Amino acid sequence: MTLDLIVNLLFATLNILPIYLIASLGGYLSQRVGVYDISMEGNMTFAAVLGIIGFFVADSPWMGLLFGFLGGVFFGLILATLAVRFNLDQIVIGFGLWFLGLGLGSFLYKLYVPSDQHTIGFSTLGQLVGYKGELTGFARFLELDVIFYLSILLLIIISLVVYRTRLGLQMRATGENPAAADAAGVNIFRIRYFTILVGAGLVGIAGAYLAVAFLQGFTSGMVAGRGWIAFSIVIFGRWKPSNIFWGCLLFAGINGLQVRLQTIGVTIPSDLMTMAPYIVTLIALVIIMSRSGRSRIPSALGIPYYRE
Amino acid sequence: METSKQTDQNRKEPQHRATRSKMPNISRLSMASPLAYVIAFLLTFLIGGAVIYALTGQNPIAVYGSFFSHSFFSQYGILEVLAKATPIIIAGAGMIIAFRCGLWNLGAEGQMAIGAIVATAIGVNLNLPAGILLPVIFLASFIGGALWSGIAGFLKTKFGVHEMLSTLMLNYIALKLLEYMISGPLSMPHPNYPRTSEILSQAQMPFLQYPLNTTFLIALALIPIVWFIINRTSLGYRLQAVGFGREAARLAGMDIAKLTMIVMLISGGIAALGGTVEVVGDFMRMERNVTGGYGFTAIVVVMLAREEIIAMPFAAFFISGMIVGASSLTLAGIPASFSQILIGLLLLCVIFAGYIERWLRQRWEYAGKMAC
Amino acid sequence: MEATSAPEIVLEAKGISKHFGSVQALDCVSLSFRKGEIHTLLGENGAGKTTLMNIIYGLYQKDAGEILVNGKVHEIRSPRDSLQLGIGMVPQFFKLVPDLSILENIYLFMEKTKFIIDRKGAKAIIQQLSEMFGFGLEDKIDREVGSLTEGEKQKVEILKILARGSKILLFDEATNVLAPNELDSFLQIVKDLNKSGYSIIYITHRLQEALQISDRISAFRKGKLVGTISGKEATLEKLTVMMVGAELEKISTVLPQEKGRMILEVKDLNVIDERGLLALKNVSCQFYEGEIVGLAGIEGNGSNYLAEALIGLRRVKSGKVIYRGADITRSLPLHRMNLGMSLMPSSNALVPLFSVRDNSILDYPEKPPFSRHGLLDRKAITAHAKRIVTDYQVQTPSILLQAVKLSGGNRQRLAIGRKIESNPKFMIAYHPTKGLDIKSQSFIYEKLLTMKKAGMTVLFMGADLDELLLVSNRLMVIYRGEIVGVFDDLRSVSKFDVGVLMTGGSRREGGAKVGN
Repeated sequence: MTLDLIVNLLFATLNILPIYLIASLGGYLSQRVGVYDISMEGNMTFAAVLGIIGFFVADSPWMGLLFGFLGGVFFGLILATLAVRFNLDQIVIGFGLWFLGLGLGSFLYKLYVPSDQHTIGFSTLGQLVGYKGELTGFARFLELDVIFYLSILLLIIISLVVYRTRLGLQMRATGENPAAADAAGVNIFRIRYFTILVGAGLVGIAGAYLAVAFLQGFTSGMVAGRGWIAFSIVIFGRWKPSNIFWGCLLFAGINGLQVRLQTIGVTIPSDLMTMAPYIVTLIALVIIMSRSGRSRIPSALGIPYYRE
Repeated sequence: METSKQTDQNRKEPQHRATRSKMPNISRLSMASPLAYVIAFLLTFLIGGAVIYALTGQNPIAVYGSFFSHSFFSQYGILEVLAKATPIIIAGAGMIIAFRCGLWNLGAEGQMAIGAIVATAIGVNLNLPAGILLPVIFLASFIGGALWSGIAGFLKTKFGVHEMLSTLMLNYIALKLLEYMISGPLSMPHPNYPRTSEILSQAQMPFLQYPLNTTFLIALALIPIVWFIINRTSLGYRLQAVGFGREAARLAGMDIAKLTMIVMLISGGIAALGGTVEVVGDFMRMERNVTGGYGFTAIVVVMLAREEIIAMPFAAFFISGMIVGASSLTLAGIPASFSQILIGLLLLCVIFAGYIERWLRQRWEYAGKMAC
Repeated sequence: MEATSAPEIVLEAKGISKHFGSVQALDCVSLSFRKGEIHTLLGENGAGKTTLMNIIYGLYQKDAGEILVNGKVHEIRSPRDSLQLGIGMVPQFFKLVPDLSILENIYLFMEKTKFIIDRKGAKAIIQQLSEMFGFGLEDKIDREVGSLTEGEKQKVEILKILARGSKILLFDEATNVLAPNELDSFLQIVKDLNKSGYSIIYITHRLQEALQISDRISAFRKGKLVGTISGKEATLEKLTVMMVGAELEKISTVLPQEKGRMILEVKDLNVIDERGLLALKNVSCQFYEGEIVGLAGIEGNGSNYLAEALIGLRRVKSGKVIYRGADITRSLPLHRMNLGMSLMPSSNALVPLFSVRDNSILDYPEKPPFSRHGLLDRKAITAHAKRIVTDYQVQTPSILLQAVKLSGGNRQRLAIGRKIESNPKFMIAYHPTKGLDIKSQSFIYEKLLTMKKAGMTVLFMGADLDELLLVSNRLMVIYRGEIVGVFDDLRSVSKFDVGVLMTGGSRREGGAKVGN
């Protein structure tokens, strides 16, 4: 019974994981090159609606993700232009984009998405390999969808790129000391633009995935702070992909716990239970911040770079 | 975030700090001229119009006509604009104090929720004469909001948790708490939708002329008070010193932790009153949307006003006009969230116009100095 | 090298002008550099030599003029362009990424590298170069650059441009970060590089260095090129005149004086830095009324920690600070300032976006007459600000001007005026003249000397020995968080004696009395 509970919880967690993982990896990329993307919440909302629209365009969740990605890239383009090209205040830009995303999201939703229509998520690994047996024990990994596995792959790829390649070296240098990278002939603007576009695109994918595959529909306020939580995960993941993974697992776990507790009928008022992720974020921030030791914050994070 | 960053900076690049002090928040605070604002407004409405035309196919000019006639060009519209501006101005006044101290208190929404909860709890239950009850409600809301944002202040000074993140999380927590209060402890008996009972009649503030409530006067009175605190008291002096030159303030021996705490308390306390006036001057009870996103809007308003307390109410009227105007468009098939699009665009356009203006000015000043 | 055959010009600047704001940093400068020479650009801070280098290196864009590399005009828009042309720079403030290793920093700089970082190949190149010029970094290639000494970081900078294949090397104030005893070996490296065929442009404000290594010397003053002479004809006097336009005043030696009453005593002070390491180790010293005590220390050796610990900005791990008999080890900065202590920092003394007026009370906004019961008195503040502006010769069009718009010298004048007006008894001056022009520097010395005569004590922290010997009655030396020497009579002390201590060498015969 208890083992069952734990296994159920584990898989509820892994189900939610891609949302946090993809979004925070996207946010991580922007911050890695020195730009706060605080518009993640708005970006995800906008991309969620685009994702649903994309789904209905081609009747395919993949098209949903593509739409979400493009929406994210659009946001990234605005962010990069204002923050990198014009060196404007990143928090103000983020706030503006956040409003823009929330507004555009529900605007498009009301205009283009027919009510009470549901989307269909991605095929599970089991469906993909044609597994027909019973899904118990380890076989339950087959019930996770393709995006789960792709998000893990994404984590690995991003870690490798950041730490093992010249591109990653340039990204790290740009985030740590843009003046040094500039002196080394790195094109700061190009690196920042590129990385922010990819990062914001990933945030968009996370938003689209949330709407298309996880909630399978759009309700207003459905992102519900997940963008902000993903943003915090980057910070208390100490700008390291592996830590970010554990952070995502933690929050996915809390979400999973909510789901599981509700299904087995534990009666905590749901409003109080939904507070949990935010409270845990706060506690996690306190624990991480009060632990001494070297921080890994990109030194140039949030600071505009002036060449002259 | 802040503390660790500081130590890192100390350890690493001396040059970095130099560039930083050379460019002190210039993008954040340098004033844009009225012309830049006008251009930004025009640009915003231009893009907004393009969005409307592209997405709904309606004639933007006709849409804007209806938009403005329902907000700024009708008596009822203006009253509603002022009524909606009331909580925004109050919350904005609270935010300005924090922003001027360099504290990103993004928690106005949550602090308003706490104000609303406290006001409702007292307003429903404490049967006292109006002359006593209302001051009690406002004072208690202030204390509630102060303690709530005080949590963020405490986490910042004690553990170095960045206030931006903690206040955001506290927003969500407070909003969930508000929902819980509405459906649980404070719920009215047998509601047809989640809401609390009406507050006692002596706790309800009178309307000047519906929908404009006397609470608007409180908002107006707050402006000179906050202006005075910022510009004429030594507390205001010190908090701005920290906001505009943190390291200089530290070297001058200012107790930054204590100031952070005081500022967060005052800022959150004032912001909470924004929620209070929604209860005692508008809803007369608490519902889910009692804070209505005005806390977040207030932050945009403060950014638009470049953290200037005198400019802030005007920015609030304008934004409130956008909200009222956009909500009138729903009949024409344009979702009310059009206002959010406009607000976001406006913020982006204003900082962009400010940049263009600085750039042009530099060009202008140095023209002719190029020859050998 | 001279006259017989026309020397080959590798780099030429023609009519270069550049302004910053309203300041003309470079005014129509033309200059050519020969192949295989060490060409020194000499000038004070702000004379324009670094600006010229930054333009050649592509960090700044020129307003007018052109640059020729190997006889051809090139538009150099960024360092990428100049590196492409074989020009490399060792900057004054290192452009290294502290969190990356030596290898990664250099790899970042190298050309035509593989997409997947080729550690083996890069390591081989770096090791070879390091050995060739005797850098001794072979074993540290995977260490994070942030953990290296300043001298080592400089070598990494040199390795970067060598690995990149640059043939023209620019050195910008390269010896600023070096300890005096590292100087000779550094100059040797420059000469060795020159011998191996590199053309070198060497920027400095130090005459001695210029004389030691140059084939030719060009002097700058206020954005203009004063002239170029060959290293052989150059003398100290000639260069001085070229550089400052007049003879320098002679440095006077300060006589030792009777000790007054003790004002501050530090006992076995230990302070921990951000990383939890000891930044100050058992520091003990005494200060007496009416003296200026110099503290010589290169940056990074703990004098900033001492300054902050004394004024109360930094927690003390153990030890005692006693001010006029009272233990103030745990008291707040504000309390100490009220007792008459004061900290004059090298930068960040002003709030950049505050006006001159508002900055004039930054240390004491709570004090009457500037505020009473928490309310500011604008009239009193204005009068105070006007007095400081007049008495301390702060050049500003208005006291409402934002401090950020003042020049560095005027900023420090305003700051020191504000400090002195609070009538301190003990002032900690932390590199107070850093980056200032000579006039502002001597203004600050003068003010401190006047205050000393009035009975104030000054702890003058600095790294420039000329300056320290000019103003100090006594001198202490700090190295790696320890006081390694105290000189009570400075007449018998040479700069070499102090310099050796500053860099961790042992004292020589006839040197100092050991301090604790």
